Amino acid sequence: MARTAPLARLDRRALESPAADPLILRELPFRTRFLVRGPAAELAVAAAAAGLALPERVGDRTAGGTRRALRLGPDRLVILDEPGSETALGAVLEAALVDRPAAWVDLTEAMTTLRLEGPDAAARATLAEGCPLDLHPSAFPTGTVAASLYGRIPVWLEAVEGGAGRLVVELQVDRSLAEQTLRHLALAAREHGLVLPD
Amino acid sequence: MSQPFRLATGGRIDRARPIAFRLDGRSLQGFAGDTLASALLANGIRLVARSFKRHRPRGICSCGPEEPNALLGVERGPGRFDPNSRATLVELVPGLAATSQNRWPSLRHDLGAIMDRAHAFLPAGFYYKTFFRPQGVWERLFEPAIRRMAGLGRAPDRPDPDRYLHRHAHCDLLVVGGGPAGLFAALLAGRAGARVLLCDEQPEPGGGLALAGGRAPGLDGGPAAAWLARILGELARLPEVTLLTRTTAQALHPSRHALLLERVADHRLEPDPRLPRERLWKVRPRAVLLATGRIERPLLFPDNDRPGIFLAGAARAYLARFAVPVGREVVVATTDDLAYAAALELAAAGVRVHAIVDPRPEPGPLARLAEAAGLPVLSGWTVTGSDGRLGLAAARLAPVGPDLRPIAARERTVPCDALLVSGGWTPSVHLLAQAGGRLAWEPECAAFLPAAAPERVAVAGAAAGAGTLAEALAQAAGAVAALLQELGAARPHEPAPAVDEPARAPSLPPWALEAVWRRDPTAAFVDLQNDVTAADLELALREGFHAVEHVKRYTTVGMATDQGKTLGPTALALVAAGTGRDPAELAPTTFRPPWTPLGFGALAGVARGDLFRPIRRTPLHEWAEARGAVFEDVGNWKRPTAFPGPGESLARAAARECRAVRTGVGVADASTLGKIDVQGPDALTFLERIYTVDLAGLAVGRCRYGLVLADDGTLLDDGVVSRLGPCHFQLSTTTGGAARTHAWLERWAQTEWPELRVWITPVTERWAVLAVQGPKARQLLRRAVSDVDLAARAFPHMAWRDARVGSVPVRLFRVSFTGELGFELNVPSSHAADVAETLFRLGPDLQPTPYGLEAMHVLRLEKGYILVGHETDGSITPLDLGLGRLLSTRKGFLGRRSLLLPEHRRPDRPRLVGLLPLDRERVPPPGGQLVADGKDPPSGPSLGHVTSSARSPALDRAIALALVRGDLAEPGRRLRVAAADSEPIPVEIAAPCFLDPEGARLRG
Repeated sequence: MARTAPLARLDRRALESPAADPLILRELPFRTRFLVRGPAAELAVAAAAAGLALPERVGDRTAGGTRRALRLGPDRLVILDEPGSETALGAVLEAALVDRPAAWVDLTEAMTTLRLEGPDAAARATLAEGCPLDLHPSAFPTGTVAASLYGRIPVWLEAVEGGAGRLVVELQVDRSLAEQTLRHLALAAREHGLVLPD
Repeated sequence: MSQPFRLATGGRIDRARPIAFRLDGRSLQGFAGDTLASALLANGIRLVARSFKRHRPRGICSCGPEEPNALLGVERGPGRFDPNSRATLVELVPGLAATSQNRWPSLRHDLGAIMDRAHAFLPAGFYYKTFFRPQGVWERLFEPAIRRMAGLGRAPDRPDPDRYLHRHAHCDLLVVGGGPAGLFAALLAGRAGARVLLCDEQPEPGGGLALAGGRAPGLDGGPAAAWLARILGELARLPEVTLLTRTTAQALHPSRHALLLERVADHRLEPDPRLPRERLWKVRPRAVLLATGRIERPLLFPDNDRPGIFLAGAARAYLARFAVPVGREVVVATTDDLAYAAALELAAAGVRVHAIVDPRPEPGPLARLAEAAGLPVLSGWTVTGSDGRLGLAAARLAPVGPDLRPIAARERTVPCDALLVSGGWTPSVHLLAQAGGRLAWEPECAAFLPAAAPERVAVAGAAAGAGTLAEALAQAAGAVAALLQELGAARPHEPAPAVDEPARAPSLPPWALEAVWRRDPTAAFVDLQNDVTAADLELALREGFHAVEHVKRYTTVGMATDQGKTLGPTALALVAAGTGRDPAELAPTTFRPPWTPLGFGALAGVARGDLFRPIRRTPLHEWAEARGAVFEDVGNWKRPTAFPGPGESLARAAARECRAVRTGVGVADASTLGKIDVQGPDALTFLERIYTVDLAGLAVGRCRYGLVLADDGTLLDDGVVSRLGPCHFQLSTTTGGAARTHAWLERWAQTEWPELRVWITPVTERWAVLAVQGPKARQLLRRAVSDVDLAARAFPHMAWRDARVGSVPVRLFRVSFTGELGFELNVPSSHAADVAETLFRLGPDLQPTPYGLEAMHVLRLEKGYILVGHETDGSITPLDLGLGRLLSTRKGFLGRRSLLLPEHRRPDRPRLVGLLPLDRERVPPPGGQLVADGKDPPSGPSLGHVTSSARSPALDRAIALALVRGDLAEPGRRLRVAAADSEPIPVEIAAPCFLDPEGARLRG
């Protein structure tokens, strides 16, 4: 059956602003997303079942195949996968964690992903308009993840890719709050230039 | 257009770019690089305002944020209007239109000036003494009249078209102030590799050094300008140093959280619509260096407020930066050496200096330089008054005796168009005090200086009392080294540059010349903006206000928008002297943020209009919209009120929707109800403590309605607990209570019972919820849902089952908030619209009817189901609501012990009842107060209030729920509901359930 993306209704053109090398902001809907809670040993079991290593430190991530593991807290791990994988990944976690002192929740449908990419300085400045974390490249290098805020909206941040003066950041946000976050990002990005491809 | 007071050369303005602007409709011209103040002065305009209370003529007197007089309304285009803008900080842009304030009909002819002659009748606090009776007249007459006479500009009346942003920033070192000390400190820290943020409120860095002219100190063997250029060049090359100009440090909170206001757009000659107007920086630095400089003090003498009286340092700045001599015939009155530099620079620019008066018998070497340059230096003299009507025409000068008393017999009147005054300097310690630093009176500087600073906050330069540039730079170097060491960074070893500057003799504070202002205390102003004079201070002291804070509030000294930046210390010293104390015994009044006024736009940031708060829409929003829903706000959510057809009113639509649910099947969007996932080996233990009902016996696959109480026993929220697995539950909450209940659970799990292995995750947005309710609900669902047996025996009331709609996995809860057979179909959010359409497509013969909140409220009211926030208000317990059956006696739960208190069991506690109006058509208003039955007009104590009411289509009459005094709550008793605009409504108490009390329909 047909799926509807949370921000499908949004008028994107009105939020754009011209520039030679603008920032690019798009929604990546339907990403498979599980939250695992529990002691580090249980998080490691969950990660291993998904074919991933447990990120050692809070704020780190690991990747393998199409999956990524984001360590958002001492007892908080997020496992991401391509859209459409929730049944498979759910079964894997169910099998691994059954009767273990841990929790897992499928949040695939609860949130959506906003992907911001462009010149490194502009992308970081745009994020800093709403996020209170230290986003300097030395404090928030590529690969860093965090549970934080954009404006007053809780978001999960991930510096996905970087290098050569460019940055790709993803913000995962509750679906009904995604429009507020996207509009705020667009206001913040206006001075750097922004396009929102369909 | 000529600018009579503009020199042909010099200054840092662009003469090739003339800029047209207006003052009160009059066309004027300045240059790119001007401020509004410098452009007005270049045009010879002195009179720019009328004073707050006495409507005295006032002019520009400073060149910076301390300006008390030159407050103007500034318009930069439609909707872009700011009242009370300090002309000294407004940069000139094409089309700028300034208007003077507090005058009528014009600045030159202000009828309000009568107030100045009436000042004897308008002392401090006059309105408290004069207008307190007759009662009521104050609000209607006196206050509006006084507000019209006194006051500042008018608030803008149009929406602000500009955008404002808030930026978070982090750094190792925040340097506040871009004067020589701040720049040097930033350079040293930057060279050491630190991340440095430096802010300065002026358009160009350099501080006093950039504003001094030919007599600026030399640095490193060359001119100051060359040194500045070198430092700025190197700072620009350091990648981790950020220099923000036009950026005012408004607040430094304890723990070093700093708020900086950057003026991004106002000064741009070519506007860039992509830029925000202002940006509020929220900085969390690891260390802070305050190099905030100092503010010059005016002298205190009768008529010290005339347009044409300038701070000497401001006169230097207007000449150096804007090539504007503030006068042609100048007198200088000072008790400090630096005013001699002003005189020398003005004289070098061709201005006639008629006299330099200085009561000190032995001024410093600069005075001898002035003498050598042929300027008339009168040591042992001072200014005793001024003459003029709308501006300065002459200064009165007199020699002083050894006791600093002026010798009246020898007073001279010297015609002049500008009087430069300097009474020494006040270090700017505001931010340090805001951050929790301690200040101490330093007699040598006659000022409060930093005595103790919070952790990793330091003060250097003039703000720390440095009297010379060499001292300021040495302080900056020392402070940076110490701060970097505290941060564990490399410690820079850099010698301060050699400074070539004259020695300075100690200055004399303005209040030392008491005999001068005593000649007419009613015209010796200690607060130019609030029109407070020395006489007002004396009055306050006479009336027994001795504490500085009391004097401040009684006289309003220092309470204007400039917060007494220029004369504040003088006022404090007068209070000290008047009460026979040393200023060291007094504390300065509290320095509070912000340092200068800032607009609401900057504070609001993006939080306005659509972004004021999030607008949350459910996954079924477009589906409901397409079916004609009218929406209302519930918390941040948009929810359908009803689905009126063409020409149908909301009330008729809701009644139709109610009938559909009672007789057929209705479908509502219940997605906003909170859903919380609770898992873990101790999940059951945890929830048993939270919920009032027994959950231990709840089988997997079953649901139970329960209450959550606050620890005082009042109802916090209600909802359904569903057992998904042995260690896995899902809770439902009210829409508005979702976040509150989640926080409540986390609080107990995290802070009180950390030993419980339980994890709580809000999953509200994971599922969209279609409430399918009515006698035909099962029939409809059978057509859409597979993999589940919907028969009553297999799927009883208060149970849940997994199922499918096509290929979509869904979860069905058999629950009802309508009293009918009902299911709540939980659909993965992205499939919701599609599944809803499927339901309607498959059941046209059953006529499924979308229903909204209004119908939902009527349906639950008919059943007497409570709605948290309607039947509860934070003071209501389950006992009040008649829900004692939901209180487990088998276990403990939060709030249980409180319910045992006698207070909660008093017979006159409120009690939930039903109300049947005797007139079937009169719906008692919710919130209506219950009064005793009878014929008299309603009076006496309230016996309770209506909590919900409606006209019930099923009963064909008005019904209501109410909280009534418990001892009166027996069925059949008659009461009345007082209505605001009609006769009281007679009602009869009934059981709080009007329909199917046995629940047969529910279990069908």
